[in-house]
Amino acid sequence: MLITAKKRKSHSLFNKSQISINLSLILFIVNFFIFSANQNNPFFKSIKSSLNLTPYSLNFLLNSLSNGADSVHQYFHFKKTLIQENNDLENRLYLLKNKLLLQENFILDYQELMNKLEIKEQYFDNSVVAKILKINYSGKRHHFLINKGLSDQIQAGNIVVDDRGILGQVIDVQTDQSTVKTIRSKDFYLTGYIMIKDKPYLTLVQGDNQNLTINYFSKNTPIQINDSIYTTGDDMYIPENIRIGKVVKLQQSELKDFYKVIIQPASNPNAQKYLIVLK
Amino acid sequence: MKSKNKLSNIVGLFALTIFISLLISSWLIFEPITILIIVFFIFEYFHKKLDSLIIILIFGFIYDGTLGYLFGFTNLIFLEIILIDFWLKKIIPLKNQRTHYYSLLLILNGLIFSLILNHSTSDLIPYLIINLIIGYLYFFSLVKYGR
Repeated sequence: MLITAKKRKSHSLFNKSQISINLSLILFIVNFFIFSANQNNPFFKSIKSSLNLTPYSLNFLLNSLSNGADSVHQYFHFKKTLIQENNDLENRLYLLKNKLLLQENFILDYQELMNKLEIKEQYFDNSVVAKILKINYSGKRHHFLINKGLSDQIQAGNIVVDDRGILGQVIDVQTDQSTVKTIRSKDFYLTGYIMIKDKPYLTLVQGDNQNLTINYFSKNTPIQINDSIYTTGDDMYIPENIRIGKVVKLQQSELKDFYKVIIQPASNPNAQKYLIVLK
Repeated sequence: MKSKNKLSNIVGLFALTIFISLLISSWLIFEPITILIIVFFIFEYFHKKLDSLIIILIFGFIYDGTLGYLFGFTNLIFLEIILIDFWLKKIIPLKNQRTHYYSLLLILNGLIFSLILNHSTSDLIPYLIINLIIGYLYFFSLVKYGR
């Protein structure tokens, strides 16, 4: 009734010409049956499962993306926290190392002090151990300030020694501190002797701001490099037989028959923190 | 070549429609969201003259499967719109059919028919308002950019 013969010829499901009303109606009815039919059978289920992208699965995708973003954020946050903790730990390590270094310094100080006290007890009854306060005191080279003075019965002229030999002499005394001039000073003179083949040879030693020198020493004396020189002592302050240094160089002096002897002092004031002042 | 381009354009728009539908449907308040496929169909059928029933039915079938609807649901809406269009052609002059109001009327018709088929929503009025706003926005976007 609805489908005319003319239209039936020209319209079909795959035809791209104008859609037929009758065909649409038939398809509508067919679709309605499909829609009303029970779609729980395996055929529909398999098609649906292969196509299904329900909102819930999209929601799941969005949630996963959100979780992923969260994880990335957490990762960077964790990394930042770790870096911060690492920095804190490094700071603490630095402080601890400083503390340890300080403690090591204390221990070294203590050992040095004990060493000096032992030397004092063994060799110099009438002496006092003093701490170096400043080096090159008042801008003068080879001058020290020590923490003992008149209150410890220190006098100008007292000799100062370390564990290797004579170091200098007290030149100025105040109540609680004194100034020491080292034997390397240019205007420092000292009498000493060199033992050559069990025979002492007396000489005058002078500082030259770097080492000590004997300006004229006879070439007839068989002096050798590494020969040691000791104090002869005097009646006032300088005790005898304290090591001054050793011969390191024999130079030609202005006089033909004499050497200029360079002596390296045994003491090393820059490596010391404590000295022994002989009273 | 021209028809191939046209087909790829249609398929692209269909994929976009499915994607937006899935995106909007991830908020439960909008479920089921059939308005976008109705708009897509009206745009393709009336504005781009897609008159191959097989392609229309395949699109409806895929849409049903993708969004988990009962098979035949979207195609019923499509065919109902086509039939209504045949009926309206007889009572509305040809000149008026070429305006956008005609398309908007058909969108409303399709939405109401979809509600008749699946009346699960409880908040009918907000559902209608929101769906129509989304539908009309999508329709005008397609008219402007979908060509």
